[in-house]
Amino acid sequence: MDDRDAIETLKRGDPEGMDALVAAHQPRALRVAYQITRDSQAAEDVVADAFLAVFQQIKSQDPDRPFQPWLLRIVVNRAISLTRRRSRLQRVLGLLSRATEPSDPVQVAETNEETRAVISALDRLPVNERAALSLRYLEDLDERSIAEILGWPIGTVKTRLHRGRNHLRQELAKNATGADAPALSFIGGSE
Amino acid sequence: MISDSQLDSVLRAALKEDANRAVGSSNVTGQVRARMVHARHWHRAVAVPSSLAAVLLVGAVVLAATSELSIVLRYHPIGWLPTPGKLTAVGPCSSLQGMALADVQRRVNFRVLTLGGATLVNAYYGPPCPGSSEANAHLLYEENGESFDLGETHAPEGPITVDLKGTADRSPWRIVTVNGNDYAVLIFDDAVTAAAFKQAGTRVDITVGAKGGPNRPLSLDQFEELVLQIN
Repeated sequence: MDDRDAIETLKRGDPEGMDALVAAHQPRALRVAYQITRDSQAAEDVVADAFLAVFQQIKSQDPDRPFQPWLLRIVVNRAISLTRRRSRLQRVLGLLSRATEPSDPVQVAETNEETRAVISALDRLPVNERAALSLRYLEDLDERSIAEILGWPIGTVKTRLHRGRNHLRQELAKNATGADAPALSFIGGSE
Repeated sequence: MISDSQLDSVLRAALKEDANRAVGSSNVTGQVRARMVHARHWHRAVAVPSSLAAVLLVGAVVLAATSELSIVLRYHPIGWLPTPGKLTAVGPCSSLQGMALADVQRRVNFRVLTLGGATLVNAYYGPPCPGSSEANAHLLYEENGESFDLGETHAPEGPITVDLKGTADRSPWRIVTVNGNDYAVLIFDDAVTAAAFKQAGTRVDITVGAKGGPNRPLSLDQFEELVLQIN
């Protein structure tokens, strides 16, 4: 069943249409949601909520309109919104000296040093830059597609990608020069 | 200094590896299904008060409608009887002709909706009544000893009307919304025994348990699952 058939099936009230849409699009939606929220549970919530929004709006969906950009727009907007709410909450918790959830040591050990350094640096970026970088590098989308999904002007996308890359570069450089810095193979390469 | 190409390459690999590790085996199908069911119940909860709020008194006829007016329950307190017995779209003048479902579909000018997951026992074609151009279809299904009669006709533009005896305040009929579509349902002792609705340009009138075995109660939740199988 392709997207068009699935949408028509769902419009007729058959939940198999939704099952088909979920099966086809959840891997990508989950990856994007995860890279913005940085939390697998939150990513699942965001994606499940996004599909629910699809279900509630399906009757007004033009079957000729590509489904994936529509879904990703919902996912990204919800993920950004959730992340902002959570970061406000974490700031409050920080003020109250309550520790946030520690990283899973097994999970940390499984991730190689280079990846961990990049991901750790990515965590410290503003959420808008993280969203743009995720769509660009995780999903290999071009700037125009990112602009369409996020509803930003293309100039804004370019700016945020550029700033995101620069912030990331600075974060990685800081890590590389720190006393307990991991040995990053890609730091120090010639330009 | 990290070059752009180095950064791009590392970023791409790191993001993919990290995301696949974290959510590569996740599956939200069950969560989505659960949220859909919850949303349908929520719709139902808000649909009933809106239908009650829209009750209007016009002469001797009481109209109850959903906010989108896809179904009108028209009550006739005295002097008029709707189609006797079960609610059905098949007119009394029709002499039903048994035939294959595909042949029924070829003879009518609307899409014949079928009930998935149940066994089709018989399909009938009802020719138009004198003075009418509207033919009808009549499908009999059985599932787990329960029977479902589906009477189908071409649905008019705008809301469909369900003519009922009695008054709205004592009526066992109510309107529920499933997946955004409105259904008029007849409920006795918490069991749905008949329903009428419009879908894909077809009006469907269902009677539950009218043929075959005993009339087993069909809960409202089961009814919601049932109508999702009608396509």
